[in-house]
Amino acid sequence: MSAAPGDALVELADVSVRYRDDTILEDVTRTVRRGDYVTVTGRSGAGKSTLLNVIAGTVFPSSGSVRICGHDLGRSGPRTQAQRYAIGYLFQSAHLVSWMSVAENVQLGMRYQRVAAAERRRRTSEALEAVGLAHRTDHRPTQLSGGERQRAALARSIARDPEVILADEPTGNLDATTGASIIELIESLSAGRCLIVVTHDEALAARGTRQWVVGDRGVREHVMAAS
Amino acid sequence: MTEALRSLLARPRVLVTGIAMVVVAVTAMTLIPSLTHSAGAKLLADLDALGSDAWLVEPQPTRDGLPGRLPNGAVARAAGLPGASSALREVTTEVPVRLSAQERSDRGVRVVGVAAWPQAAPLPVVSGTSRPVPGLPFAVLGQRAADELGLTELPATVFAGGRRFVATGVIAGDPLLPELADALVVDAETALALSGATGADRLVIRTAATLDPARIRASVDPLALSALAVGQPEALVAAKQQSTSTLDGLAVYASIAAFGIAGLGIAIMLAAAVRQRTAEIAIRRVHGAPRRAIFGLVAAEGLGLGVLGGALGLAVSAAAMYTVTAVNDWPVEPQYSLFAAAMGAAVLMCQLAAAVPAWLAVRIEPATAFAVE
Repeated sequence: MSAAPGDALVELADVSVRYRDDTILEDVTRTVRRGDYVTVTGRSGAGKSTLLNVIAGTVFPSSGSVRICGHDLGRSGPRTQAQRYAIGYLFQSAHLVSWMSVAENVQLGMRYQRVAAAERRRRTSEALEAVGLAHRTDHRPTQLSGGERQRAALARSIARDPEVILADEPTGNLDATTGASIIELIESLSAGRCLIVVTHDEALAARGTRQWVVGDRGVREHVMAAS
Repeated sequence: MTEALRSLLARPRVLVTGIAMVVVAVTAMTLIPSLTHSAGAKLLADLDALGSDAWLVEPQPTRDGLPGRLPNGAVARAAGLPGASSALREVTTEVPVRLSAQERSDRGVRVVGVAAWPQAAPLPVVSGTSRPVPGLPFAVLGQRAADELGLTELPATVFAGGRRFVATGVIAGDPLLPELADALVVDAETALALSGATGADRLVIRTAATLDPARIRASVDPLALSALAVGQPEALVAAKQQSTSTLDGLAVYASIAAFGIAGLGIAIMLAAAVRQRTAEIAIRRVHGAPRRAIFGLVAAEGLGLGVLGGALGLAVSAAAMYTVTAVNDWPVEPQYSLFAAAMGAAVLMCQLAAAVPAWLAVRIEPATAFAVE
C-alpha cells in the first residue's frame, strides 16, 4: 500500500446497509486519514460492528462505496487486495487457533498475503517482541492468559503491516488493568496508521482524536480536543 | 496437507472415528472379495478332488446330419484318464415309453441308454434296485418319469419301441445328467438298437484332476476317428460362475454399503467440526483467505482421512487375509487391482464426504460468525 501521510485511508461515501426490511446504516459518508484515531460509540445494536465490518470488507454495503487506501471494496480484485494487505482486525475475543502455537497464529495473519516464509518469521519475531510475547512463541493459546491472548491477536494484526487497524471492543473480555495496557499497546503500535476502535467504554472513547457516535442509522462525529 | 493433518490431530475424535470408518470400508472392499476368492478356490478344489469336475465329450454330427457316434471302447479309455472317477456314455433316443404295448398317448418319457465305468452302481437308486432281473430286459426310471407313468410298485413292466422292459428301481437325480430324471434308463447297446442312427450319443467324464480338452480328446479317440467336441457341462460351468458372481455380488454390496455409511459418517463429523471451527474459519476469512482456500482446508482434511484410513485399511485387510487363509488352509488370492481400487475409492469417498462440510465452511461469513458468538 502506498498511501502518503495524511492521505485518506478509509473513505465511506453514501454507505447504506440494510438487512431485509431493517436499515442499519443510511447514507454514511466519512473519511479517515493516516494518523487518525477514531473511537466509535453507540448503544447496542446501533450498527457499530456493522460499520467496522463494512470497512473490513466482510459486510457489503447495500449502496454507496467504500475505499480503502484508494481501492474500491466494491470491486472484487481491489477488495481482496485491500483486505489482504491494508486491514488488521482485532475482536473482543482473540480468536486464536487453539492447535497452533502463538508464532503460527501470528503467521496465520500473513499466510494469505503470500509473504515469504523467512519474512513471515522475521515479522512474527518483531511483532511478538513488540507485544511482549517473545518468550511465549511456542506456547499454545490455551497456555496464555486472556491479556496475553489479546496481545497475540494484536501481534497477528500488526505483523500484517496494515494501514488500517480495526478493533471491536478489544478490551471487552479483560479486566480494567489488562485492558488499559492492551489499549496503550494498540495505540503505540498504531502510530503511522489509522486506528478505529469500537467501544462502550467512555474513558476509552475519549482517548481518540475523533469520536463517531452511531445511532439513528447514521454516524455523528465529535472532534476531540488534542490530548 | 501438513496443516490439515495437524488440524485433524487437534481433534482426535474426528481423526480416530474417521480413519476407523475408512478402514472398515476399505477392509470390506478388499478383504471380503479376497477371502471369498480364497474360500471359493478352496471349495472348487475340494469339489474337484471329490470328482465333481466333469467333462462332456460329444461326437459331431455326420455329413448326412445324423448324430455322430463315440468310438468303440470310449468309456474304458475315458476311465483311464488321470484322476477319472467315473465315465458314463449316454445314448438318448426318441422312442417314447408307455405302460402297455397298445397305449398311444405320449407321456414325455424317453429311453436313455447308459454304459458306465465303474459298472457297480453308477446311478444310485432312491427306491427299488438297480440289479437286473435275470432273463428280462432290465431298466431303471428317473423320478419324474416314474411319476409321469404313475408307477407305485416296483418292479413294473413298461414298453418302449415295441419292446418290454422290467423297471426295477428309481434313480436319484444328478445335476450333471438332468435328462435322466425324465427317462427310462437302459444299457447303451439297447438304446442304440432302439434308436438306430438317430439317437444322440455323448460321454460324461468325472475327474479329480485338472485336464485339458485336447488330452481328453486324445484319450477317448486316440486314432482320431471321430470329430469330438470336448467341454464342460453347462450346468457345472454355470454353477461355478454363479457361485463366483454371487460371492462377488455380495462383496460389491458390502463394499457399497460400507463406503456409503463411512462417507455419510465422515460428512456428518466434518460438518460438526466445521461448526465448531466457525471462529477459526471466520478469522482466516478476515485475514484475506479466499473461499477456495477455506474449501481446500476442509477438503484436505477429508483427503488426509482418506489416505491415512485407506493405507491402514489395506494393511489391516492384508494382515487379516493372510491370517484367515493360513488358519483355514485356503489358497491366498490377493486382489491387487482391488487394493488399488479401494485406495482410490477411499480417497474419492472422503473427498466427496468433505465436499458438503467444505461448502458449509465457505459459506461462513465473518460478520455473522462473530455476531453469533
